[in-house]
Amino acid sequence: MKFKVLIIDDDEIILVLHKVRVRKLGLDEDPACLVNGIEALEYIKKHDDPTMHFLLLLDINMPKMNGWELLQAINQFPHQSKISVALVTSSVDKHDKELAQAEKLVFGFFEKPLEVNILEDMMNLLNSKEK
Amino acid sequence: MNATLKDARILIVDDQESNISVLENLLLIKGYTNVKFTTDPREVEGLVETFKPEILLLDLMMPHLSGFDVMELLKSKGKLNGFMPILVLTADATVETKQKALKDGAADFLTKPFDLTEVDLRIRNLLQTVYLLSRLRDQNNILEEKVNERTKALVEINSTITTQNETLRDIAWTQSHVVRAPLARMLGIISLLEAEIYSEELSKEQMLKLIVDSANELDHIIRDISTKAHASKIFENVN
Repeated sequence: MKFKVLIIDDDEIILVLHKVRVRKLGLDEDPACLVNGIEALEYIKKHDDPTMHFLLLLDINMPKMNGWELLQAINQFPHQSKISVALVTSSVDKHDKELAQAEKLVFGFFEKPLEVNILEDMMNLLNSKEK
Repeated sequence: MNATLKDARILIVDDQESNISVLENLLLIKGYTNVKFTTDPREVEGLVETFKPEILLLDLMMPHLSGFDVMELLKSKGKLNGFMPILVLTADATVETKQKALKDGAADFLTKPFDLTEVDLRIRNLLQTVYLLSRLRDQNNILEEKVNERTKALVEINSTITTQNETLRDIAWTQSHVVRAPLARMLGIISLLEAEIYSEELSKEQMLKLIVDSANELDHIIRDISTKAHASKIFENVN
């Protein structure tokens, strides 16, 4: 399965690191790097298509539109594409985990930085949930 | 205690000077040093105000104001709110008189003619009660003062602890949200360096520079935390 990977993080160094990892693992040759929820929402709207499967590597704490607000905005937008969301944060607190339970699009929580093994775990989890 | 009792302020009110003279002499013989008297019951209110007697020896049958009137007056003026016992002097020792006097605020009786030993003992008993009550009141005041001091100290401690807790929460938040960010960057870059994954976006030199920048950022954050911790006395014991 091919994905369009969207890396959404306000930390530009993390964006580059994750981009290198995603490309290296062969998930997406040219992942989109977006610095907040607004940019991500615009990207999805622009590329919305029933053949699309977006994989969002989504940071929670960001200026302008944070991860939770983006999820809310996506839910309100009648998208045709398939969207899977991995929450990627520098620290996972209990409250965030509880909030994530209610989010249908979210399939897992992952800690920064995304190393090879974490990305592999992520893909395995996503594939197992797809079945 | 006895020495203090003998200094007690005693006010005698009787229109008969002979009665006053008998009582005054008796009290002087028994060592009481602070005795005042009046034959005019209308002066009692003023004397209570200025002399502040600790015990009042009060005749019942007097012109102008009876002993009952005097008690009524003192009560209505709020002069009996503290404990100033009234020892009623009476020749008329009927049950009715005694009951009325007790109802109006008398603490005890002395029947004329006076039995000197009885007079001394009854006065001493009443004064002992006055002193015990006054000591109790003093102790209560001391206790209340201590409680106030302690409460004040506890309020201060509580406020310090509240500040410390706020700082700890602040530090915990910084710890998990702010400290972890540069660290995650460093870890990510280091693993790329280990795997020797270099790219257009990220050359080896850029990676090394980013590690140094992130380390400096982390250092700055940790110094900030230390400053905050010291400012809110987190390292000090509160007690």
